[in-house]
Amino acid sequence: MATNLANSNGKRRNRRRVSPGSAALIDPHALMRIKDLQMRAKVVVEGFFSGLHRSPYHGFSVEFSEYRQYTPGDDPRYLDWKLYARSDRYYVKRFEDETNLRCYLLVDQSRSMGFGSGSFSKAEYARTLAATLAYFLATQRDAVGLLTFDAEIAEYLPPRYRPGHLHRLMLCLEQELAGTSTDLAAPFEQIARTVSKRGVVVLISDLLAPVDMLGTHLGYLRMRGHEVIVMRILDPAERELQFDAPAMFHDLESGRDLYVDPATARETYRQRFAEHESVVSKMCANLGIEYVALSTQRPLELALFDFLQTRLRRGKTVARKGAMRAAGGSTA
Amino acid sequence: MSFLTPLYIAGMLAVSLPIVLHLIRRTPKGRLPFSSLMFLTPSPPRLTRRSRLDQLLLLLLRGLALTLLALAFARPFWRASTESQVDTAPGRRVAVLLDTSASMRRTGVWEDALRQANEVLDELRPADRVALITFDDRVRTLVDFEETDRVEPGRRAELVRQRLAQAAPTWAETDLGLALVAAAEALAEAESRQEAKVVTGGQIMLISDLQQGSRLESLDAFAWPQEIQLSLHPVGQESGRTNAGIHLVAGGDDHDAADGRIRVRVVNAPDATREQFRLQWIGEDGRAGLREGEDVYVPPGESRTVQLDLPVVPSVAADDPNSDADAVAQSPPAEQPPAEQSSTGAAQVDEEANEQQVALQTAPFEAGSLQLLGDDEAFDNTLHVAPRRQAELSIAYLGDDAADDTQGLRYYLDIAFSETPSRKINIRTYTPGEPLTAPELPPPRLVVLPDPAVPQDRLDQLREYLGQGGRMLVVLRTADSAEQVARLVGKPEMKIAEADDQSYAMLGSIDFGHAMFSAFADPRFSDFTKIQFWKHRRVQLDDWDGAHVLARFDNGDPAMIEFRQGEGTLWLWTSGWNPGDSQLARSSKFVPLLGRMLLSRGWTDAAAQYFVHDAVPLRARAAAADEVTVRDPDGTDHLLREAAQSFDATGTPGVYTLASADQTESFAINLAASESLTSPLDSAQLEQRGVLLAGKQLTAEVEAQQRRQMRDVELEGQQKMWRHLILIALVALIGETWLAGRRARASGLPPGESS
Repeated sequence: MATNLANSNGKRRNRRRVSPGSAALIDPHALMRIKDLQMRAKVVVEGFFSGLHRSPYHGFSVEFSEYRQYTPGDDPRYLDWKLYARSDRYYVKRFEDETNLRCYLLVDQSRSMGFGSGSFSKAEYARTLAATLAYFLATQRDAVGLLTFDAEIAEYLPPRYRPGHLHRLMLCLEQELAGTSTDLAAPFEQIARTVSKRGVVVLISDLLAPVDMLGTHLGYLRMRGHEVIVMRILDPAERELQFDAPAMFHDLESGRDLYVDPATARETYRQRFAEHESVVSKMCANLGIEYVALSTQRPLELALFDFLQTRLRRGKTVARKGAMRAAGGSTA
Repeated sequence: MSFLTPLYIAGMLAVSLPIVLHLIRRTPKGRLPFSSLMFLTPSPPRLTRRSRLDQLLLLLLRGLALTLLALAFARPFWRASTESQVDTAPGRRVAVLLDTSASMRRTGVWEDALRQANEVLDELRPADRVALITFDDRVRTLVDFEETDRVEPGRRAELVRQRLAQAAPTWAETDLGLALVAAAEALAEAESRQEAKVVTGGQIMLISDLQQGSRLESLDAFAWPQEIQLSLHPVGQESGRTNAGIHLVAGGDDHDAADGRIRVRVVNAPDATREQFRLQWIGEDGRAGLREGEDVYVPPGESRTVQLDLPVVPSVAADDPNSDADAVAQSPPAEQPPAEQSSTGAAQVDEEANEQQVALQTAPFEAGSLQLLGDDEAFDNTLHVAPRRQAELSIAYLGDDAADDTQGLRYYLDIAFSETPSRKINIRTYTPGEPLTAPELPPPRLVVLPDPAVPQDRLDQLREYLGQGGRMLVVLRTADSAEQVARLVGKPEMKIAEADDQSYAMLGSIDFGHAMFSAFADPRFSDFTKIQFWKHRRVQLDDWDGAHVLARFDNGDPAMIEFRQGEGTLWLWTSGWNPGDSQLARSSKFVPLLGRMLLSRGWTDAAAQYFVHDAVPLRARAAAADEVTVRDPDGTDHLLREAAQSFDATGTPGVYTLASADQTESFAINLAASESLTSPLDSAQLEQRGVLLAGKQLTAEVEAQQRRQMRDVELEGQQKMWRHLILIALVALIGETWLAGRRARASGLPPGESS
């Protein structure tokens, strides 16, 4: 991914400016009232940009690596003329990958995503998030692909950057939920099979599935050199089991009914949930995968911010790893 | 507190409903969709103490509402508050109707009836009003409601028992219809007399043998009151006892002492076990064997008519006053022994009589009894026979036409008054100088004066005769005797003229209300248009006082006028019955018209036979106005007043002897034939006539229960506590709704979720 933001000094300050609580943020409830998914994504991204543009600091970069002293033989195209004008020295911008980024959005469409304690479901949030990312990346001329799945793969759009692609992607996202269960293995195998070129894989799911095989599959992707970001979408009620009355809890995926008194089951639930989350996050950390847990209450600009944040961290990590590798060490 | 419908209290079980609902408050009503159950464990439905305490007030309110509803439906009332009124509640009205007809004299029936009556009286409550009515063919009220009302409640049954002891079966027939009507009317009257606190309706306790011979016709014309019920207490209805009866066949004129035979009918009951009976004569002296008995075979349920010779009576015995008195004393039918005993007794007497019979002379049969032997019930086994004697009357004819002159009046009189078995009428023609009373004849009962133009002294005689109560028929055959007629009827002036009709006249208007024509009042007989009067005389009278026009011709002239002269009666006919004047003598109305003149003023012809309670006309004293004594079968003499026209103290069957100064005559009073029909009457016949039969006899407890139930209904109706209960329940429900709504708002749940 090419970045047009070069100032690395402005990174921290900029993050502070768009921290949660900003008045400019759009309430997800209000956002979800917009029917058109593309319009929704546009609103989010433009809001994000408008916040960005108010900031005097620039310097976001997905793939920015470093400046280096121009040496003869370098492509003069990459000379930074503005820097030359300021410092009277020739610098060349260095990029990790100078080609366009290939981003794969893996969107979970299983029925468990249909749950929502508020006015919209997790699936709605997830597809808005996917649309926002796709739109954002498309504005940067990156190739975005989409893979929706439940128990099996529902839709697959290979990453492209061409007119109309974004629209098709939006249409795919607007499909109704169909699957009964969540099978995380199939989409990862598909990606691993079909994608040979390295790219960014963004998994948008609630990860409410057994995680024993998840690590293996994520490991495959990592081994193939893909950068993997796991964005976990969770409803606040899910996390805390925010129910008062005892009720027959109906499993959206398996259809199983279970009588649960939240008052008594809450502690166990929290405990198990936390265990599950810690397993997932630990696994992600081990594999070098960015793990972002997103509540559906969280404004989507912040989600986009989180995405870029992970990209930034990723860049640093990669840089550090690269430095360590250069020093002869190896990290796990 | 008591309840009218206590079963509704079971509705209080519904109180458990809100309790259960409160207890399972946390049981989900619907399913809650959730993303995954992977972190959830099933939890048992928990009944937390907190939840119950939470909604305690709601629970109380709901329970209260349900309890109140259940109580309201159970219709509560306070019994204690009005208990005292209940004690003074009016009793029933009960008419005890006791059959005293002759059929109650059967063996054991009367005792059974008394026992049943006492049982009925035992079951009476002190407050009940009782009347005791006995009946045969008459109704006697021994105790009426007014009398029991006057007696204090506790002593009413005692009073009735005292009167009940006076009752005894009579010899009369059973008019059940009349008795029921009388009892129902007595009940209705007693009800109308009382003002307040009356138990409507009443009950008739009929204690009777309910025999088939009971007369029910009176019920046909009676609308049975809906509130009066009839309870039947049948007695003497056990089958297997043979009862046969014997009755004289009312043969009109064909049987009589003259031919020495009578016809009797023997009736056997349907449930009889015997079929062979014997008829045995018993003389006036009570001894059997006047004539040999006859065997009669009558199958059950059938009847046979037998012709019997009248017995030959020893003339010596009939003349002996002592033996006659003994016989009467020995044989009152009430004390007759049962059939079996009497048959053995009769056999002994039979032998004695046979021994005497050879030497005795015979005399005309005066009176006797025919006894039926061979059945179980003796009350209807005796038939008393007293052949009618021919009555002799005389008519004085003061005309000069010959007895064989068909153009005259006398010829038709002879034909009209021909001799019958019950009467012999002597028509004697008196010449103008002859006195009206002939020594060989009784005084004339009617004087026929075909031509009023008679001498002065004869007129005076006739006026005297009229003044003594005589009756006279004056026929105007000519128009020239106005002066004499005026004198006879006591009018100063009368004009008589020959009517100048060219054709004929007919009787136009007739006073059918008068005794003379009352027999023709029926439309079948009231057609007089076939009688044409060729000639009649027009009578003009200034003063019609004391005169009554019985019939007028169609031109308005009087045809028959009745004049009352003191005791006497004078009929003036303005046209004769001779063929020259009219067709009257050839009409079917002629004989009855003349007969009415003889029979009018209470004088009736003797009937073929008399039954108990019939009024017997006193023929003999028509001529002799002196005292008449009637000796009844018990030997009691009844002295009759001079004016008495009939004798009606005929309560006992038997031979009555009527004695006046110059003659004696016997007549027999018998049991009514219907009394012999003793097989039970179907109670459906009563129902068909509209009588309301009480259902199954209620025991005292059941009845008391019913009364208590009725009283409860009344008390509950007065107190109406259910209204208050419903009102409180409504208030509780409103409070519950408000409270539940408030709780629901407070907890942020829809109102339905709060429970």
